[in-house]
Amino acid sequence: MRLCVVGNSHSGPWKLAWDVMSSQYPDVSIRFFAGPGKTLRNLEVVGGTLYSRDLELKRYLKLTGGGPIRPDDYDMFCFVGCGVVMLPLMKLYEGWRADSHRGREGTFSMVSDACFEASARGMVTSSHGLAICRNLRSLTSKPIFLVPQPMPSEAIVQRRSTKHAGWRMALEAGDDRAMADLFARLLAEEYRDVATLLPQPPSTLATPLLTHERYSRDSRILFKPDEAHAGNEFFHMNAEFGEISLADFLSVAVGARSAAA
Amino acid sequence: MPNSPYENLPGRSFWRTAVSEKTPDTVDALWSRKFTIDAETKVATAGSCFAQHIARFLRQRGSEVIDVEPPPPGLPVETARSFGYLLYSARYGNIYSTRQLLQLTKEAYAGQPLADCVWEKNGRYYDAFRPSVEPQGLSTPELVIAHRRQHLEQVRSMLDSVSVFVFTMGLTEAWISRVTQHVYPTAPGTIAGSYDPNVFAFKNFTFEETYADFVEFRSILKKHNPSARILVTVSPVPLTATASDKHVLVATTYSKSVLRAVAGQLSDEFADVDYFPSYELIASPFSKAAYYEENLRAVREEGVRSVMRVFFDEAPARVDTAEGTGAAVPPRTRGQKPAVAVAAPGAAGAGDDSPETPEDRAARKARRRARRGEAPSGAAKGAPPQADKEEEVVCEEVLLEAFSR
Repeated sequence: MRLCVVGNSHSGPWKLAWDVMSSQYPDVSIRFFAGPGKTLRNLEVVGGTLYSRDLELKRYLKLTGGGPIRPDDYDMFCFVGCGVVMLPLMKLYEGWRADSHRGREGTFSMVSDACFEASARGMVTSSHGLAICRNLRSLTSKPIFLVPQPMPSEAIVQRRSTKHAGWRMALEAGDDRAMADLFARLLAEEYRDVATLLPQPPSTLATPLLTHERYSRDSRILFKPDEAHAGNEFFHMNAEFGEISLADFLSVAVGARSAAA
Repeated sequence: MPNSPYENLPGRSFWRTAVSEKTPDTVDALWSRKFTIDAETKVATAGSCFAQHIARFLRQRGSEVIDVEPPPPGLPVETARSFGYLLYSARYGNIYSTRQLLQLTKEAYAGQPLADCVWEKNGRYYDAFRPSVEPQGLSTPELVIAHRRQHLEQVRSMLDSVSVFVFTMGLTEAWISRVTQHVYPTAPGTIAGSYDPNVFAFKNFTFEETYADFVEFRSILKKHNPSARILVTVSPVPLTATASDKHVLVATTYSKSVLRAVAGQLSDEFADVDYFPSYELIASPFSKAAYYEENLRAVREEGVRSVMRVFFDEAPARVDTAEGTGAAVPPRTRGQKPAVAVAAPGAAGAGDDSPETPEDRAARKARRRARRGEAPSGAAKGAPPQADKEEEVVCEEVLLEAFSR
């Protein structure tokens, strides 16, 4: 089974994990294509491939996967991260609160649930993850999976600064479940026709919005696997997380392959 | 010693030279502004939908248009507008009458929502004074009140900080509560609420009422913000329907005449109130209705641009082209006005009752020729709509549609 994994920095733990796990999957080959930050938004359809005219991303694609992504070369695809992330919704929560939210901490404007959801939906639909999924779907009917960026480490709620305060406020107010459910529902609705969503493995979650802290310890920088993220890094996970997440994907992928066969 | 009081008047005083020989695209000296609006001026807008055009063009010219209730991030522009965002300086929707403006101002400074601010429809609850801002309503009356309280705080902050408040008068017809005398922007039973003739009554405001309401509004505004100035316009959009027993054309003429007269009176009377003649440009015989769509109601984009050309010709901003509109601002055709020009109260030109001059006679002939002529250049009816209407103006027509039922 030939798998193609395309991701931003959050695909790093998968690559580290695969280096360890690959021997357990003799029938599976994975080719990784990675670009940091938002560079993957420059992936476009050119000549039946996912290609980048942007030289920076072009260089990253060459470095990681060998060049453009050719759908015929793979049986399945998985996008990892790619800007599909809870973070903007939590920024929304920090400054705007829906009527059904319990949290009243902080400086915020009240909006209706309908307005809050419309704003959140706008964030989900404007992520480049959806655009590149659609681009690939236009080229192939093969299975495409999407793994959103992991929730931040639970250590993020220890912060008392205003930055990222929304995570703590949502947790303390009991709005975290509602926010996580909204995110999951919007992703399911907006990606319905282009990709299968793979939620974060429940065992890695400390709360609906937070990842167990141990999975963020010693997380590595993409393209610098010997170098850990500096300071308090809440959003990137380590190789242990990568093993769980990748195994989760592989079980789904193998299952899908068996079902298709 | 002149032979006639008209002998030495400037060209702008004569119909032939100022109107017949001009098109709406070339007319000049139409407006002697009282004060400047530059990039540092904090402008706020409210009123009927035409005020949205002014805000849009001001933003494009780099002016600071206040928005005390910006949309949440992520909300697409069209969706934001459907929730009442990005239309005016606060999320109050259309304010058609001066009574509604006064009522909102009083309510904002009182800090307490009016008791009858909640309307219900199909188990959902709406703000009766801005029912369109939540298309699906809210789940409880208490939420409506809480949202309104938040809105009033923002309106108050806007009024406290505004440098130039732009208000477009829209209608004299409205619906009021027989019990509280509060005025509503839409007829009860349209977006929400239910129409009970024992509770609600139709009201067509008079000149005296409209004038008095605005004077009181100005007084409250100046009390809290002494340096604030007001720019008044009259919406050229006719009534879709009237609830009076008059023909809709007669009702429209009454409504616009009252509003225009009040605007003129206010401008003549108060140094800090100016009148910008957008109404004349669009609705007068001058433009031969060429700036209206086929229904003779909606204003075409060309009309808006023509109006804004006059606006900016008289109040040049830092940027010389209107980005995104394609509207190039022509060079000034006459001398720059002083930075702050305050018109003498009561100043007026020859009125309708003035004796006919030779220019008038020539103008009559020109007018007859004009009736047979083409529409003003650049304003041909039936021309394809402009492709750059990125910011459509949202008009609430539910009030008038309700009248039609």
